[in-house]
Amino acid sequence: MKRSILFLFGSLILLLYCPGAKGQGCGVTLVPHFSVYNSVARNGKNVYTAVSMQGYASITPGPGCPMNTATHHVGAENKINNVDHWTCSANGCPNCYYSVTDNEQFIGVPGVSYPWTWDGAAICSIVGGFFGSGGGGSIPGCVAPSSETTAVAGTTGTTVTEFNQGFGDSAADSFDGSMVQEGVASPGRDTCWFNGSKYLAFTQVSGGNWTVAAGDVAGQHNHWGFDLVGHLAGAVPYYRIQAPLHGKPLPCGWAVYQSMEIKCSSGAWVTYTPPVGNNITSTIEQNDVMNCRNDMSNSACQTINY
Amino acid sequence: MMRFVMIVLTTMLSTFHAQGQDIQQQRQERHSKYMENAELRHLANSGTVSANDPRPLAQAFRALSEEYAWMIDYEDPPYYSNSDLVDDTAPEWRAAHPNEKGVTVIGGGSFQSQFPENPEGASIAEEEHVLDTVVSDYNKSGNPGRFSVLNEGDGRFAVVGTHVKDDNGQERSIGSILDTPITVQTETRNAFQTVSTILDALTAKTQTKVDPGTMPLNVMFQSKVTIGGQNIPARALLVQTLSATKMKLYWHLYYDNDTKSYALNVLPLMKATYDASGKRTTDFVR
Repeated sequence: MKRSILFLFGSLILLLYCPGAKGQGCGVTLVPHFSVYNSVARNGKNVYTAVSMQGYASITPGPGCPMNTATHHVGAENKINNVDHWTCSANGCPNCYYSVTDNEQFIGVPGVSYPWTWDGAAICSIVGGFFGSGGGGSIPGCVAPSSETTAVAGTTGTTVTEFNQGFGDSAADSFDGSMVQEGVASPGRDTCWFNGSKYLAFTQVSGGNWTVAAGDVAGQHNHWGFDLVGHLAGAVPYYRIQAPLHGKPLPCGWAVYQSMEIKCSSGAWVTYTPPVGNNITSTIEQNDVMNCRNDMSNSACQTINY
Repeated sequence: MMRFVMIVLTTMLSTFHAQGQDIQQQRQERHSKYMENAELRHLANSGTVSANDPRPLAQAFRALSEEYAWMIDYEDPPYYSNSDLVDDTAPEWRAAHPNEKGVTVIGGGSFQSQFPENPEGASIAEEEHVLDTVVSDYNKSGNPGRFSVLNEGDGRFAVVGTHVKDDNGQERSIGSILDTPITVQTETRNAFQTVSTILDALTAKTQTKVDPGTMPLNVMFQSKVTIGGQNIPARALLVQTLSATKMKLYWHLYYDNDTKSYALNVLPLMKATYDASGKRTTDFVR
């Protein structure tokens, strides 16, 4: 299974000693040495949960207690959205080492929080259940990045900057293969543009979309790009000369506000940038052009002499 | 004699000064009336579009395109005369450069059209009828240029400039530069490179500069297209290129007489939606 365990809930339960169970009608001491582990793994598309029950029991039989006929088995419970799943071991010897894991996966819906409970249990054929430990929590339906940085990767078309973005979350989820797209967070402005210009005003992003770790950033884990920012080369001398004559002094440029969305496994898009969006600018100065991406976690600019 | 010359010079300077003031006043008045976007109103079975811009027809069609997600390409004719152009030189620049040539813009202004509107949504034929109605109203409005509607197929239309006025105010028929047949080697390129190649070939053939204008760069750089051919109208190559991209794109080709050049602006298709309170938003048509 190609997935990485990226998020381990802080609930490793290691019981070095628990009170023993007494066999009915005879004296026996069971000391469980079991651990219950739970984890959530996500790849930006599906959510995987796993609950493992591992360990053994120390047995000290009392006189006349028929422990040679006893069998034990263990189980791991993985209850997602109130649907219960158990995986149990086969019956075995009372002091055998047991290890079972229940794996589940589901496609989350954005905005829905899924209740999750996990449990591990050990059962003796004579004394019944003698160990149980678990916990609970909730899992968000769609995983989205919580931070994004940007960096200048290069230049294309003389005056356009290629920006490379890296993103992630505190659980180090992998978003490789996910789709991201830009939207309009709010209207921008173009201070070079004048009524009658042969260039249309650029006041909003144009709806680009990217596959994470593909295209220009193929193989770069949790990166998307390039996001191309800048005036085309022909517009620079045009505005340098024409804009001041039409009453638009230099420096001039445009600023737009980019919201970023990631596609959840359910097919829905979730915006992961703040409501104001990423502020993206391109400024024409007398002797150069400056392109900037002010992303949610950092900013980067490139000045191009042109 | 000297006294006569002085009087003539004084009179001429006063006249120029007064003309300059008139031009600036007219410029200010025009600018105060320009609209940021055309306005659409929906009536029972019709709609109206109101625009005020140097290119009011282009502004009107952008609004129609956004309202109904219609693919409407627009092409300026090459305006060149004082009958179609007005002085747009900024007063502060003019004051600093009193003897230099200023700049112009197309002399368009207010325009309104009422067109039939099907609340259930328009068929292709109904869409074409709406475009014809708006263009017909425009051609009678006194604004610069005359236009006609061209059906480009697959639900795509072009509104093409067909007439301009000469310096005597007489209309002259003129062909669209995008009808020029050009030859482009068939290759797989990204959409931006392909459009640039088409425009370079068009520039070489016509000796009129056609620059790539404002464009959705991310979409165009990401889209690979295989386009080319011999003696094919530039318009056909552009339609093939934009139709092969990852998004629905259309163009507005604008002419600037001061630089004697065009810019081919490419826009992503948008669609307006209204919430329960009537608030309007637009989304990309992907």
